[in-house]
Amino acid sequence: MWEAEPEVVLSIALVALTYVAGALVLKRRPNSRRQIAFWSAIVVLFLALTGPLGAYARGFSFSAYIFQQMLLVFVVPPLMLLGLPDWMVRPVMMNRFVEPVARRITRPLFAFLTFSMFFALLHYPALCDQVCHARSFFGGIRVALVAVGLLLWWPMLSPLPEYPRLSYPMQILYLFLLMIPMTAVAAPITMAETVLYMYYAMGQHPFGLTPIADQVLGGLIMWIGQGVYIMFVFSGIFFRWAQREDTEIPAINRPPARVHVLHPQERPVI
Amino acid sequence: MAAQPKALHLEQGNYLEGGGIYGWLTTIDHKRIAVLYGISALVLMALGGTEAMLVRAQLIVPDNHFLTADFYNQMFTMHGLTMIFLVVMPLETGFFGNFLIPLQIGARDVAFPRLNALSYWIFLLGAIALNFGWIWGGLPNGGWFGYANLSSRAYSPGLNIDYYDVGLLILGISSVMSALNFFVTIVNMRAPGMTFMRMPMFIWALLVTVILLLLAFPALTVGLIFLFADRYFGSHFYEVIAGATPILWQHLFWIFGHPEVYIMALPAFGMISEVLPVFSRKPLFGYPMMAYSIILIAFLSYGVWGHHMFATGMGPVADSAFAITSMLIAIPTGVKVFSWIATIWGGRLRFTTAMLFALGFILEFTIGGLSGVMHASAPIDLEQTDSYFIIAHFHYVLFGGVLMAILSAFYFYFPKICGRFMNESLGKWHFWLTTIFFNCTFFPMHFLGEWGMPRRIYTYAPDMGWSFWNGFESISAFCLGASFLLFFANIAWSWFNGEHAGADPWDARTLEWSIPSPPPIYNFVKVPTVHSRDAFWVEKYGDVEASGLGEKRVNVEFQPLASPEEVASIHMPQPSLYPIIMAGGIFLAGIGMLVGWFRLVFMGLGLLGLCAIAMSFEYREWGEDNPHQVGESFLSLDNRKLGIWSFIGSECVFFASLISTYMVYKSRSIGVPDAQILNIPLTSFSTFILLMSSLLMVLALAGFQRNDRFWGTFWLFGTAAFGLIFLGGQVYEFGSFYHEGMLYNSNLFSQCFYTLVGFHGFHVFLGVVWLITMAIAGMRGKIGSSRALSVELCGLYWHFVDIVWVVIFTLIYLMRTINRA
Repeated sequence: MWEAEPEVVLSIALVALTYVAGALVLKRRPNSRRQIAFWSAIVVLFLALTGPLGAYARGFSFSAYIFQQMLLVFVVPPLMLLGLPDWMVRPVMMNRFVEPVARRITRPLFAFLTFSMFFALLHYPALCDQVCHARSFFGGIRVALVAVGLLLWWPMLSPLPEYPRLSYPMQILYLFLLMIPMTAVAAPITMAETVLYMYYAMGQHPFGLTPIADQVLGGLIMWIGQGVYIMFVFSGIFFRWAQREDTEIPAINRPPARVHVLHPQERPVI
Repeated sequence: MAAQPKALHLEQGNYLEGGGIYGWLTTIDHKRIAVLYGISALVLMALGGTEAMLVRAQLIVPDNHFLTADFYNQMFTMHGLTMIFLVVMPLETGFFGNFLIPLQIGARDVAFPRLNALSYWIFLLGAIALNFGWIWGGLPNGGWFGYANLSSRAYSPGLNIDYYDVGLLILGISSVMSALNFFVTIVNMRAPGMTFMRMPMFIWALLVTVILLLLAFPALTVGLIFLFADRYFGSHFYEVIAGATPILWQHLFWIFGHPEVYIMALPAFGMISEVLPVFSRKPLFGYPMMAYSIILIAFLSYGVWGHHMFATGMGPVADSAFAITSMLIAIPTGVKVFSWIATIWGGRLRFTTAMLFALGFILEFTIGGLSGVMHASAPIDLEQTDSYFIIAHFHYVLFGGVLMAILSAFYFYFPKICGRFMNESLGKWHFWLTTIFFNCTFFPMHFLGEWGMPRRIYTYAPDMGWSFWNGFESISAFCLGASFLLFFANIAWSWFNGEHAGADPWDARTLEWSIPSPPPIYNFVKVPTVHSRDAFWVEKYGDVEASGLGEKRVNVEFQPLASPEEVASIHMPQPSLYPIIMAGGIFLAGIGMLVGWFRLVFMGLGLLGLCAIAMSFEYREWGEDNPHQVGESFLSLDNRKLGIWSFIGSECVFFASLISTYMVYKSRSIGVPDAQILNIPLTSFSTFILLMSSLLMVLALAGFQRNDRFWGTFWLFGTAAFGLIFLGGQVYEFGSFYHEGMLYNSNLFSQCFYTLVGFHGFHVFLGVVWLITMAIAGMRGKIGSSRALSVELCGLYWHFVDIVWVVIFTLIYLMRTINRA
């Protein structure tokens, strides 16, 4: 039986409704690519927060919790940003009260630091045990994860030309540097010899894992799983870059017209 | 082939001539520094080779007592350290990197010429520090990875490990400096039109290598600092008795160590990618894939260090994950091998010595790669680890792979470096002898490993069945060594008597061949504009794909030598004595650390600091010393600003390692003191002060930017004063802890806390010195709005130090109030 908490379903529905309402109010229809991206984000949200993954993450399993986090930070936000058309975001982000703040917080450095700090704090064992699983904080933490995820991805996937994206090489460097906080958080968890998160010490773990193995698996999802995922992302960026640099370079830098070569003859070989 | 008359070089500044010894000591020309690196590394290569010969001589027969066991340990340790840190790295980044980066990207020098010289002198003195044992006895003897706790005072009472520790710390400083320098050079100083996707593959390889260096070395530095503290201050970072784990060393070492493998391999890939197209008359096959696989290898190299530690018992889940990522690396590496083969496929090959070595590289490196994939699998690795199979593997990678590539590049670039060919027939003898005896030496090691011969044993019993192959390997190794004598003889002979080479002796493809050989000190009279990949080839033949068999275009633009007027108009940086003095300061500090006389450490660091301050009071900024900063700078950041940013990136890893260690060790610490001792109200106040100082820094910068010297200087002094208040708070805090009985070596908590907070305090102290220097310069009216950038750099550093403090304050001070559920 697929379990779902009503407030979670309601919140997801609210997000979806906002998107639909935005399109209806502005009387425009996002193109199908964007729609696919956005609705996939909703589906991933639903899969991550409800059903077995949601239940495991809430109650028993550190690795499920981490996997859920990874979905909320590294999958949902990029899909959402890809799904948002510029005309839907512009009225919000270019609002005269929002814009000055938004410009500052979406700067790559700020976004990167905010994400790193938030992520490091979230996995501080004592804090995680006490705050992350208190009923009243539970939903808030997940909303915050998506929010910092959006912030993290904005410099790379900003839908608005008014907020320019990072250049391709800088996007790759940005992802490369993300490795530092992720490794700094994940490696000690993976290599720990005792259960750090008391909250998950008891109860039932997926696949019949022991609590410590579950914790190692969680650390590895955060470290290696996330790393491999990022690898695919930057592969995409790299090849787009390689492809575009040839077409988008300024005219001055294009190769000169081809010269006709006269008198072909064997050149002396050294 | 436009051969240049030699007289012209002499008149117009061939970089190899002139200046005498003083000229070489004060040089900041990247080509001279490259030659210095090259000569040092070759001398050290002879030394490292001799060490290998001694190791093999010991193993030639069973039950041999040619060397004592301890001396044998010293020999294999020094062989590894020498070849990795003193031969391969300096040859690749120091020698070829220095020489080729500016030439290949069309620049007149590196971004920070004096820093470049400093890196070299530090490298040289670091190499000497590592080799001190030759004079006073007791060379490092713990293996190149110096595993804890064999390295503790209890097990290694002599100075052996201290030479290792201090030597590597000094070499680390040098490596990070040159990495920073090259990063800025490649990113900011490419000739107009040379976009990233038009860079020669060697430049791609070095770009990624230096990023690896910047992000990997600090982890080793942290490990070495802990080691030093354990040995000199009685702390217990690696001692089980205090709750610590010796595995921490392995983690820190291999976080660095695995990227280090690629720091050595990637430039070799780059060199091969330069040599093969030239001698095949074809462009490099799959250029974007080649660049991509370099980046991918670098990225993956941070997620695989666990595969060096399968034997430590990380558990099946972690072992599987690291096995998978390690095998993943084989994919981009395989891509490269296939691209090289596709490059020579159907090409018109010319089998020069350089080409032979390049082909040899492909073969030997592939063999080494395949055995690498074998022990990526955890169960197989448990069988093979610490056996001769591993020795065979990494010699195939590092000797058959990397060193072959270096030799190939040596024969290839020798004409560019000194204007003369190396002797080809001697070269071919060298190639064949090296290849044959290399395989005879190392291939049987695979079998010995499978038959159970462990690494690092100094002798073995006759009935083990290893005697024949060991004898065979030793004799082959002596022949291999002899083949290198041929190489050294070839260099020495060719340097003076080699056949003259023109600007473009190989009919090559990239920019460095468009200028005379040896290049004049200013490299390019006119900074070239680049229109495509393989820029010089296109200049000659009109098309990248051209086979080079047609006639050249008539108007091929070899760069001419400059006329005297042009020379006068080219601004080149002036030679400087500071680098060698500053390196001397670091060396003094190193000796002070070795003998435990810490006054000398402060004197050395003081000398370093004084030189830095004196240099800043020359009011000639590093930026003004730059040959030029035009060209393809996609960041539009000043060189110095980019330099500070990359320094900050490197520092992030340093602090991340310290903080992670604190987090892990805090919960393992035994007894009091623990985190409850921390005084939160006091620290909150000093945190507030430090944050306010950042605000003052912003005001100071704004002041200088609007040319308001008074307020700019005022706020600078204010920032420094707040920094001093913060430091005062820290001194008070440490003092009160001390009175409460919390010594540095009380337990894990105290040593981690003092190390982390102390190093942050040291950074604040440096920042304060910088601020005061800057403020005095401001008072003397030397900083106007045009030089506000200098203040901005200082500000960037200061804000970074503040942010680190915010992290420390949150994770270490505030979090202690949260108790477990």
